[in-house]
Amino acid sequence: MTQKKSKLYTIAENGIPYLILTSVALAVLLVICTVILFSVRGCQADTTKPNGKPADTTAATIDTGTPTTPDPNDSVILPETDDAGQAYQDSLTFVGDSLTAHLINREALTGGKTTQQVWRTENNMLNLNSEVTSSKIILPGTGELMTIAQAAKTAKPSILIITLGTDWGVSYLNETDFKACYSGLINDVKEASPSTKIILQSIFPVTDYCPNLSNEKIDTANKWVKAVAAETGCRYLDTQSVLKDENNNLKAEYCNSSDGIHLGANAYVVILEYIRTHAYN
Amino acid sequence: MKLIRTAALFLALLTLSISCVACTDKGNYRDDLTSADVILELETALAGGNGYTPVSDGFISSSNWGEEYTSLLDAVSDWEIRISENKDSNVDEFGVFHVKNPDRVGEVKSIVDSYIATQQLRMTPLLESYNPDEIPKVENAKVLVCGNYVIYTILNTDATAKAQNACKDALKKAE
Repeated sequence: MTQKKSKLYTIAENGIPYLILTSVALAVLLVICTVILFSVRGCQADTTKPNGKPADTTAATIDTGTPTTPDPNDSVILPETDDAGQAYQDSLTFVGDSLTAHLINREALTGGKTTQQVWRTENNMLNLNSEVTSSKIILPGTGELMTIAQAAKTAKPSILIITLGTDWGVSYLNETDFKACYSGLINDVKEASPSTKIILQSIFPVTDYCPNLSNEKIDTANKWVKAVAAETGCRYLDTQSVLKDENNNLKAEYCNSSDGIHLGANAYVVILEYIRTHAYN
Repeated sequence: MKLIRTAALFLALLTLSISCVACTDKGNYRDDLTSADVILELETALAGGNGYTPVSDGFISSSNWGEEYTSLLDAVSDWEIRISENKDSNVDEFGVFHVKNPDRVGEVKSIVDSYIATQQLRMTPLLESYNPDEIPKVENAKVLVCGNYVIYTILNTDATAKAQNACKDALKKAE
């Protein structure tokens, strides 16, 4: 009776050298390692889910432009000024996502938790997407829900600082849609309250351990914010510059959450000082 | 034994065929309603719950729907999508696509399936921080095909059932 031979034994018997097999295995291993190495991007949105397809990752690709290339939109950056003082700070109105809403519970502004200077949504989320113009914020004082443009028409703020992008925009919008959504909101606000001066504040950085956002994407998105400011006649506050460490990450001491995004009270002190010392005259 | 196996295979194929016909069943649905007509039926069925509002034209873009959004817009004669009036508090959303050509219903369904899967990936981590009660709606998202109409819902279980029944009733051909 002929015994069945194992496949390996048969392969050896047919003369395929083990050296070739080993080389092929090492080559495959090298390719895998190379793919893994070039796949590592630091903080990224988690796209793994057992029953889902990968999310759209066409948004905010890493900007590999030369650092020294001047941005033609830099002229809209609010330059350093003398400290404009408490009166200036008290004249500001802020609108944005949770990073803006936390000006309230961090008691950063006059009035502390009862400040009238912050427009926020009911759940503090404010996505920068195609529906941002219909998103409803709570108008301080009355508690009414209304769109940002309606709030501008009602309250006629002298200076409105808008900070958007952390929610949705950075992660999911491409440049065209990001700018279109942001510009659409600005234009609505300008139409509602032509006398309001609008400042677009930079998207804040995140820590190096942030699982959902990367500073590379945020930096790219901030160029878009600056471009929107230039195109719509607004000014740009480069607040993110005072929040970063030498590695381009949010300074760890400013972050008070394991999500790597949300800020402590000390961060808002720094932010407001930057705003006062880069006043819109 | 061989005869039993053959019979079992035949029955399985027959069951599968019936299921496919039941699911798509293009012949038993109207094709004369616009997406606006159909979505009005959904809104009526869902009345009394959360209020809804139409989305802007920019809602169907590459950012939300991927690069297939151009194919989607090309394949449909009209579409309507509604989101919650209070979308910062709840994630309710539903949409109707009226496909021009029956041959493209599968393509449109595939694009909508992909949109739903992407929304599940995108929204769940955000909702975990801000509004975890809404996560089941995202996970419960459904896509329904009624003839040349592709309907999706991101609603709670009861609302999903109401919406789907409303669509089927509105689109069923008169006997």
